[in-house]
Amino acid sequence: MKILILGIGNILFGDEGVGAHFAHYIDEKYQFLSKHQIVIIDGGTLAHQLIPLIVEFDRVILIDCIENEGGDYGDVFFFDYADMPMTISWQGSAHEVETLQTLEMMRTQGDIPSIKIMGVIPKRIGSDPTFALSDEVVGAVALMEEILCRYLLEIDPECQILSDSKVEIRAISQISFKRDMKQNDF
Amino acid sequence: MANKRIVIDPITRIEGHLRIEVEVDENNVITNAFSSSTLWRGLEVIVKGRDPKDVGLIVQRICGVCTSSHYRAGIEAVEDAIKVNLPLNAKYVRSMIAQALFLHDHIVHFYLLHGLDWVDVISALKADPKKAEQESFKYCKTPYATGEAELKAVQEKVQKMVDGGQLGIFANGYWGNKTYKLSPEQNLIALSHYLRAIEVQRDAAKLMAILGGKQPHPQSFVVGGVTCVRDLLDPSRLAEWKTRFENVKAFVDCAYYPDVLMAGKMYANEPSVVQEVSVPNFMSGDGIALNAQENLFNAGYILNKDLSQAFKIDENLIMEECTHSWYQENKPLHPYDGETEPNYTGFVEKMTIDGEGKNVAIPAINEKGKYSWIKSPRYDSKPFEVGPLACMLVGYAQGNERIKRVVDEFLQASGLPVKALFTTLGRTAGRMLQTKLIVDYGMETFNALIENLKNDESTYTPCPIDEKKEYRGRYIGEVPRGMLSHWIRIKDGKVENYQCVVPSTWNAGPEDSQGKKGPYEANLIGMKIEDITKPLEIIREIHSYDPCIACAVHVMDTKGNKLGEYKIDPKYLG
Repeated sequence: MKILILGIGNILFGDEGVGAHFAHYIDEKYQFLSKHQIVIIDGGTLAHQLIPLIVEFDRVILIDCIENEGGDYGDVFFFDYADMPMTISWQGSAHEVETLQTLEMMRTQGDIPSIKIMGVIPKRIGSDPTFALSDEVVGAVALMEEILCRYLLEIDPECQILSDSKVEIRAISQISFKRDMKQNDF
Repeated sequence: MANKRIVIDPITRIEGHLRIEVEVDENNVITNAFSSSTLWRGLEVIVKGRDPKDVGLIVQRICGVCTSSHYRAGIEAVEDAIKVNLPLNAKYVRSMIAQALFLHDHIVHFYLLHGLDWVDVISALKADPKKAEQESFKYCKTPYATGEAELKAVQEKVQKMVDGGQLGIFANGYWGNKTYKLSPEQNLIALSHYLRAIEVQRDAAKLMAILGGKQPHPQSFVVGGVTCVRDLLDPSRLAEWKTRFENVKAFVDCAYYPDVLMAGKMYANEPSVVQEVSVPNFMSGDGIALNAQENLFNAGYILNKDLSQAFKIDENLIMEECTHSWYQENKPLHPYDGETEPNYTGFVEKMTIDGEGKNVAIPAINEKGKYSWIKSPRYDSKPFEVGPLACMLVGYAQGNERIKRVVDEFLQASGLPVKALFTTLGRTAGRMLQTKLIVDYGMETFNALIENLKNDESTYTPCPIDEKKEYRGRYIGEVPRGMLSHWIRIKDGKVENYQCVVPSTWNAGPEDSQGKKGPYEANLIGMKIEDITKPLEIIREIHSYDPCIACAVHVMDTKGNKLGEYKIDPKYLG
């Protein structure tokens, strides 16, 4: 089976880039030894151009910022895309060319893998361009990686997970823009 | 009776965030229009003080559509500054990746972003698939995905979405609007192509990845050349390029071209799409190297819709000013000296028409003051339109044989007069014709590359940056949305100043100090709106430019969804 860890976000705008930074962070910190093929990709700001990548996989964990009324900065959500009530009003979103619309197009075509969405509520977006993440979002990272590891173990109980505790997401976020993934050879 | 004000915010099915406000008189004719970008983009700020060789990788993150355009512009502005002699192979690779981007971008734009302004999805459900199959032969000898059985399947698929109360991707249309002009059968043909476009764009995206190293953000350009050496020297990778290119070409020839032809015939008498432009000046950049000497598109401009002569661009006459933009400095500045100091003044309360047609007070733009994050670029103090249409018109005026051929053939096939080019319909056709040019001639670059590789495998020229020297350089070129330019100054080996003048800035900018409007605003004035609660005409016009108001935020918006139950409690960590 092929498993994709896909981080999405615009790294020029602080917390908005958390998904992309998180993918680089996981790639740097962890090694997953599994009978399945686990691939990590920084999906950056692209929508439609991700379709050919996503359809190559059986399971996808998509990490992105998420809005949810009444939540706090740094709250983490984890759910199956199929469980998402599709009453989304795109008129309410400024960005029609975006992750949800892309997934919806794939669903319309009946060509979509099993997708888990991990969302985190961002604090700072777009006030000034910066690679830096807010304390709240950095604080959420431990929870996010825990969820990710547990989900991978759910898929493959024999998966060995090696990690390097010295890696910090703040340092990674400064170099994501030019960093090569170690684990995206597929 | 006082004029009524309509606000559309956000305009969806575009990249980024744009607000349009118009005033209409008692006959619902637009008397004034304002275009406002409501997101601050201080992208130039983040590259200051960095290594110039990193700039390309950073600026490609500006946007979620045209990454490789900005990537290349960031690299080539630096190459221009330090004067690099670029290997031919690198020139061809960059040209091929640009072609792939044009193909991807234009197909996605016409079908997935702009198409539903022309195509009424709900009407397609009433079509007779057999008749639709016959209809498709009127526009193409070998139609694409319009067999009776396939069209039936398309109807069933969409009908199921409608019955389930979930229109999904078709949820927000002004279905039934009187300015939709296609018959149910024609709508069905286009709907089938819409679904196929989702498939075909994959091939175009993969084209970019073959030589770009990866998607979504390619990584094979460096200052001095390209790094995709192994892929260049691998015949199987080049063969894959050719195959995928041909798949995309088949779609362009047998779906995209015929659909625009069909729309051209059916919409020829719809006033809102054949209203002539008010900004009569058009400018385009160089683009798509076909071989060592020739480009497919050449830089230049035309004035007053005059196709009899084209002029050369004098770069010193490009200025940006901020009379109505949320920045400190109002006076016109050349991009080398551009400033990006914000000065946000906000909105004022105004009465506007809501979706039910009622007059309500909401915060609206203050057109007497500053009202947009976009600056107003001017050339020789005149506003210009840029984009695929401008590229076609300038090429036509220059006597570019390739461009003349496709434009003349289209005008002949559709029966449209030359003046129909200077309209919303013409702008949409221009984008298709630009795509057609690339599928017809792009392989020349591929062949030139193969020919060159036989005796030259170089891909990189070392190019050190001297920290004791100051440099300045720029990239100006034609990208899918028009003429893009990046301007850089380098001092002490670091970026001293950086400015991007992007195509949508030329088109979407606010009024200037002389009260002259840019294309978005000027070209809306005079248009009559059929139903002011469903202003499809405005959206169609604005979409025809393929706005790209560089995406800043794309938070997954889950309004109306109860996601609380999926929140993970930190106690989970145990």
